[in-house]
Amino acid sequence: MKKILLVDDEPDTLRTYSDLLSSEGYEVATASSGDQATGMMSGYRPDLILLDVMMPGKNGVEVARELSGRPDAKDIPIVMITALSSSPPGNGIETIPGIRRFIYKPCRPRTLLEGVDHVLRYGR
Amino acid sequence: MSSVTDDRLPRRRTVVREYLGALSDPHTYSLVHNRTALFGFAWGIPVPIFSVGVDLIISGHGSVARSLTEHPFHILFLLHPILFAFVFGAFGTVRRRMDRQIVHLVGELEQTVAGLAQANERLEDLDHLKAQFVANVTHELKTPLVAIRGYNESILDLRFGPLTPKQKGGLEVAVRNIDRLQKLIEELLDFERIEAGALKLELSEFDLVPAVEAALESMRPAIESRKLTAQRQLPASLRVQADRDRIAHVFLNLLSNAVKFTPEGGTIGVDAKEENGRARITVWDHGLGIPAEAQKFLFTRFWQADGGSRRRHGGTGLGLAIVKGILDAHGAPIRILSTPGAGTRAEFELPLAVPVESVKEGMP
Repeated sequence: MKKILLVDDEPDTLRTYSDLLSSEGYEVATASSGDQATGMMSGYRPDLILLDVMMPGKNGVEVARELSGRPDAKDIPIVMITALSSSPPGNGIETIPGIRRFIYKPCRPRTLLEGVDHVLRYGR
Repeated sequence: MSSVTDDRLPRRRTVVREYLGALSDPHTYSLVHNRTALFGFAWGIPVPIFSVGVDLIISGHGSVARSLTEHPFHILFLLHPILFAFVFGAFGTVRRRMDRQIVHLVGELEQTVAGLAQANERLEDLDHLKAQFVANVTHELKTPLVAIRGYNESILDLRFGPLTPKQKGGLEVAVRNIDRLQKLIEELLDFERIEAGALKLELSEFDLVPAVEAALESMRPAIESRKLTAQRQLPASLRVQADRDRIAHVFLNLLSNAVKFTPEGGTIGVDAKEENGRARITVWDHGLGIPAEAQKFLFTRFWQADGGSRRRHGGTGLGLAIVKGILDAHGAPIRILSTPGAGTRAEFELPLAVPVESVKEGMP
């Protein structure tokens, strides 16, 4: 069973997407902030991280950059999920190797599941 | 304010200020005034001398004094320099008054310009605030939709168990309206971006034909439900250089208008071809057309041709404003040709993709 870490500051989004991912057979762990997510990573190794961009405190891009620089986490693929309409420009997102794709919320359940499946299979 | 104006204004102001400073200096004033009077006096002398000289030459005898006093206009000759001095002195006074007036007017102008610059700054701040506000509101509106859409569609996909036909039907209606709401929110955000001039194109080279087909395909439910015929005149391939997603948006908005304003059983269509080195695209319909007096408002946001049709046709009135914004960003003006009762044609042109051969030629 593939393990997914879902990070979002909205409790209802966490619940919606973890129910959806569980129904597809994934093992889901959740974190409601960037700090909680990076803290969890020392004792836990997911196969993929679903990471919200706009979060209070450490935002998704900062979390992704931090994880990409950590030996124990740099190989874990990250899928950014955002309610913005396009990837936030001008902060060097394309230089963060961990980020494999963007999924725009709200999306069809199928879009999220297909995106996750594709990244798990092909790494992008 | 644009950078060009920013650069020029202070420089121009300095020049004007220096000139006015010199004028308003009392020393310069009296100098200008006195010089003008002297100038008049000086010009006043040669004129009578010249006249008297001519008189002497003509009469051929007598003294200068006699000639001066006997000449019918001798008083005028004598007073000439003084008259000239008076006239030029008056010029000086008038000019000094005018200069003062100019100083005053330019001062007022400077104040107005400064006021305008301030107002402009305030407007820019407001614009920025508005854009930020719309972005925040959009984000806040979308966030609850994540759970609403997620659960409705997951349940409709039978992920959480079986559904009765009635439950399924109800959820389908809900999902359809979630789509509608989400589309509206996206449109508002798009429009705001266009208004703020913050629309960033991601240009790429792609084949327009599949893009048109995809747009027609996504309009198929609406086309079928209104029993419309969708025609297309497309080449096998037409590669253009443009922002693929935005152009897809343009097609969807134009087709959605064509479908909305064509009566049941009518015909709509998309034509595309290469013409004069550009891709020429037409989205047309044999629908209601747009009344002549209404055509000038077409690209006005929130505006709809028939205010009363809002209920019948739905929509926000942002569609064409967004289309125009996207195409303007591409440097591709849109033309709308419409005949009431006969239909409407929306035409625009896109640059062709650079052919592979010429790219190779350009390489070292």
